[in-house]
Amino acid sequence: MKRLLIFTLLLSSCLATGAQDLRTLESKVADLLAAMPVHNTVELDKRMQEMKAMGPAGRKMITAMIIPPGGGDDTKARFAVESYSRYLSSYGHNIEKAQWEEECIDAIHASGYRMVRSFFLSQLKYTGSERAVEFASGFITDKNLCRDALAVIAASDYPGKEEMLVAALQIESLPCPAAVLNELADLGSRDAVTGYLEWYTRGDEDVKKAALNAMAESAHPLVSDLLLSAAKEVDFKWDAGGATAALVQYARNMGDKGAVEEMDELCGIVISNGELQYRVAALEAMVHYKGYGAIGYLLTEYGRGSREYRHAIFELSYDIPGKAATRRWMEVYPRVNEIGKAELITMLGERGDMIALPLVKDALFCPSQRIRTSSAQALVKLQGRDAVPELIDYIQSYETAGDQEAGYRALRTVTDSRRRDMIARALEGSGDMTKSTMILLLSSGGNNKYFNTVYKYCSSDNDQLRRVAVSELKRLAGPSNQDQLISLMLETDDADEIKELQPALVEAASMVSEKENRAAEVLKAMAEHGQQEKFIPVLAKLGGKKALNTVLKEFDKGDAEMRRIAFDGLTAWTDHSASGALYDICASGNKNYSDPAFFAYVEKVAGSPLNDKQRYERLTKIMPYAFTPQHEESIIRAMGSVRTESALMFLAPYLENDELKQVAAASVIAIVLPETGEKPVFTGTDALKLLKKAEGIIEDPESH
Amino acid sequence: MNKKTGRRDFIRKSATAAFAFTIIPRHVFGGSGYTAPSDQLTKGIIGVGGMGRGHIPYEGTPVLAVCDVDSKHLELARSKAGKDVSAYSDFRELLARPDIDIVHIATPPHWHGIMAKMAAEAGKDIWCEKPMTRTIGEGMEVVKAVKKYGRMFRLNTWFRFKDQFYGLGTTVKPLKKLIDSGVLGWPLKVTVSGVTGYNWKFYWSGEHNLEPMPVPAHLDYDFWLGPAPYKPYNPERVHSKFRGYWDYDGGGLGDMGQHYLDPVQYMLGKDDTSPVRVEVDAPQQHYDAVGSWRRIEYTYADGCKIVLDGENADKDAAYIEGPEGKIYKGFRSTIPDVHKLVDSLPEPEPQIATFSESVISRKKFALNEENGHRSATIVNLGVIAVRLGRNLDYDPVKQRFIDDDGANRLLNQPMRGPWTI
Repeated sequence: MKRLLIFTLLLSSCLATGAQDLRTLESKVADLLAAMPVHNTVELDKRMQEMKAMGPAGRKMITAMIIPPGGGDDTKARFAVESYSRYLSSYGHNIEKAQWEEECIDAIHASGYRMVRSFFLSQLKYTGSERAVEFASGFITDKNLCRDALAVIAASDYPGKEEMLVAALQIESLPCPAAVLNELADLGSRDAVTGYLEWYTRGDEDVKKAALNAMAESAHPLVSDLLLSAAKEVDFKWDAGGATAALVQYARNMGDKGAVEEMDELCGIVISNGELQYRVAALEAMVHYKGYGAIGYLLTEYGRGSREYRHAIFELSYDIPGKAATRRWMEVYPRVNEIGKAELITMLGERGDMIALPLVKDALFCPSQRIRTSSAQALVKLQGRDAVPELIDYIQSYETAGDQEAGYRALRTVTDSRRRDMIARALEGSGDMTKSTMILLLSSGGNNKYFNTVYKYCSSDNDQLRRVAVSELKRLAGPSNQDQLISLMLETDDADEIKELQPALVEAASMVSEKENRAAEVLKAMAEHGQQEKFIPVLAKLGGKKALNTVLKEFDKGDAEMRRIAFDGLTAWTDHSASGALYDICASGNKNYSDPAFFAYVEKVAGSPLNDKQRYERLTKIMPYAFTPQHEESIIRAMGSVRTESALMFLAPYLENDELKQVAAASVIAIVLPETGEKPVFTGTDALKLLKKAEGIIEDPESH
Repeated sequence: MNKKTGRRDFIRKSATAAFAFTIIPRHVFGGSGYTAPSDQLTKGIIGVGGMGRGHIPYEGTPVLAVCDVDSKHLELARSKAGKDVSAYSDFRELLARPDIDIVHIATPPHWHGIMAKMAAEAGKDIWCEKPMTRTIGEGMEVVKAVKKYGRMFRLNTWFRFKDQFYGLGTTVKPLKKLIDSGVLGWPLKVTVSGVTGYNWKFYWSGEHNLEPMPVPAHLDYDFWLGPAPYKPYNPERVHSKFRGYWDYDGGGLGDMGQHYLDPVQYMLGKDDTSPVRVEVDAPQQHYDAVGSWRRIEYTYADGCKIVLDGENADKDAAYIEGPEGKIYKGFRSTIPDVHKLVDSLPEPEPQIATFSESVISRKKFALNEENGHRSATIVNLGVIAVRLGRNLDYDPVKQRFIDDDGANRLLNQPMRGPWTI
């Protein structure tokens, strides 16, 4: 048994040896690079493990292939190097990371080219250990590479980097002091304050700005006076050097360090003297660090400023939540003017504190329309759907445009089917203007059960109410309402009302289950009462053979006006069944209708569900009547959706036509190039030649 | 009273009532005429390449100054905005102008954070291009600065509050209403792919092995690079090509990510948090040039997921999928009568959808620095995971990766001096 076990182990050991990779290192490297770029993440992972396994010697062969841009094609090597850095940047791999950093550092030493060194420095950003930071710091005095080196340092979490940067700041000939200062600012370093002051006095504008920024982030007491005087110099206004911004940020950082009194003092100076945005920033710092303790400032400043300032203060006020703060704001309400009251009501709604509800409700019925309209929205914010009874009462009480609009807006966000019933019950007892608003709210539900409720007002003496009622029937109509709609249509000569009733009738008839019967009631009404001009647009939307024949008959026998209406009906026909009639009109050479019939025919065919071959045949059929470039253009455009060889052959000559080649090229591309994910249909040489030609013609794609 | 305050006071007095109402047509209530406040506010635009020149007509606010490090861009911008417009090559000069209310930042993303922070310090309100910032750390600094200086901020994407949202064929609002109603169940999975109406743009991938070339005389390349690491000039890096390089942006994800993902964040109610995990399926990435990816999957703490399907691999993907219902491209749904249902649901909380209104009323814009930072974080989490080629765990409160030093080093990428944030 023991022998058998030993034999098995030996055998498996031999097999494993047999499966070992016997390629030379050169072959491994070549194979790896040949695979670059790989197709998916699983394959990438596998290749990166191979790269790891090939050891420093193999990877050195790859890093040695990196050359400066313009020196040849090192794409595959760059794919490998970058991917390896990314691979190692994931969790773990600590030993490999350290090894790879050394290899990148070696590669930097080995190359004399700036862009090669820059490339390898950028690899260290992915791993960024202490070693990488120390190495990169050696390039801080290099005019060409200091910014790349600082990027490595910035990307690293190594705590010792602060000390290196502080030391760097003392180098008089430092080529990128602003970048060093910015990095120290990000660290909030306090150890280089004297360096900040020094560079501020002798640097250019960029350096001065960076120095102020570093001072602000240091929150060091030593820089307080300088920051204050720098901001004073620019009158606490904006300047490209960021002096006032730095002062506010400094104050904020003092707050962060617990020096609230100093923050308070500096913010107070900015609030008294600064431009609006800095006053807001100072208040923001106060709110952030003092919480409820800052409410006094907000209340005081609220009374001092422009609308812009007041609203900025409201935004800050939301950071001091709670009933105590809400009460303070409510106490202000009696003391401010009408505009202020309206703003406060809106703000109280946003705060969502229910202790403000009685005030908001009172305000909904106050004498000022401005305040009432703010209250309508605030009430919804506070009460949601429970606000509906109050809001119904509100719109019933104030029949002005502003109140009705505000009431509608507020109600629309909370009206569901149950609340719609409440509105329907309140409708009868309301004034005419309120009735209009309520009809809009009822119709928004699209429920046929309100049709008769609204229909009743289609004969109102009040012009506005009648118009609203008529216009809203289309949202409520069902198949059983066709007679009522036809009656209304027959009774009125008002063009606007007819335009509103037509879609209502379409909506109602479209719900008839059998398609061919949908136009039956309308055709019957036309036969009994005439007034074809009102019904033909309805027939066009309903479709069907009988309807089409009726409209064609009107086109053939009607007077000029009726012919126009019938023709419009044909062009607007719901499907491509009118295309035959449009072709005939085009071919007839009719001086008024031949031309528009051409375009309508092409549009109908292009948008039809016919197959590619059928569409191609129908489009080419009308070609003999394409007398102008506009005619040809419409066909060329339509051909873009016909994915056949014949369509391509049709389009080919137009690629030579200066006037039409852009449209033709777009159509060729649409035919040859598959939609994303589809298999290409046209792979032949001719099609690809055409595609290449079309791509050369078409202008660059633009985003939107 | 300075000039700026005076103008704002004037606007406030003349247009307060007018702000109220856009949902209902004026004729319904017969309100007073509307004077656009934007007629009075002023702006300066930093970065006037194709994108920045597109900002010139935004909201009708007059342009007082433009800034660019490329003199050709400046010429083009002035020919569009008017010869009276001041032209600067250093944005700090533009910030120094007291008569400019709003600063538009339309530079490449590696500048967004620095400029937004400095604009806030200068007392300007800020209209910033997407992606909000190139790194998560810079986003955190912008959030702090905007709050600290009491500024208004808008990010230049808009689908959370207006316009048809790509493949959905609708605005986001009905989707938000549906999700808030709970009818789809919880947690939800949102798939962003060509199948659901959002193709990813991989043509922003960069070129490898760029040759150094002479810097054109009209471009201050060193200033263009600014905080980014020095790399020799090549036209592929700058202007309309910069998105393809890690130093400046994040490829197609950087370009379109916030357009696509910010509304998702809004719909899911994740404006104050971030995913806790990001998983990637992508090819190996170049050291300099951004490449493509196949799939990025984000997971939130409550189990909600956002899947970016770069290859449209899931041909049956719903845009939004919950345990009790799905929404597909074109707003098709497994929920019966979904459109009627949407109509019957309460409206979401109103959002301020014009920046001029936000600036005048001093109420936060719909897409501001806080929620904008969170949606930029979704983008940047994906960018970091793709770049590193590994899955990552993230702490949305501390805003740091868990147990991954390499990933954390990409949260705050060092800036080339003298620039800092």
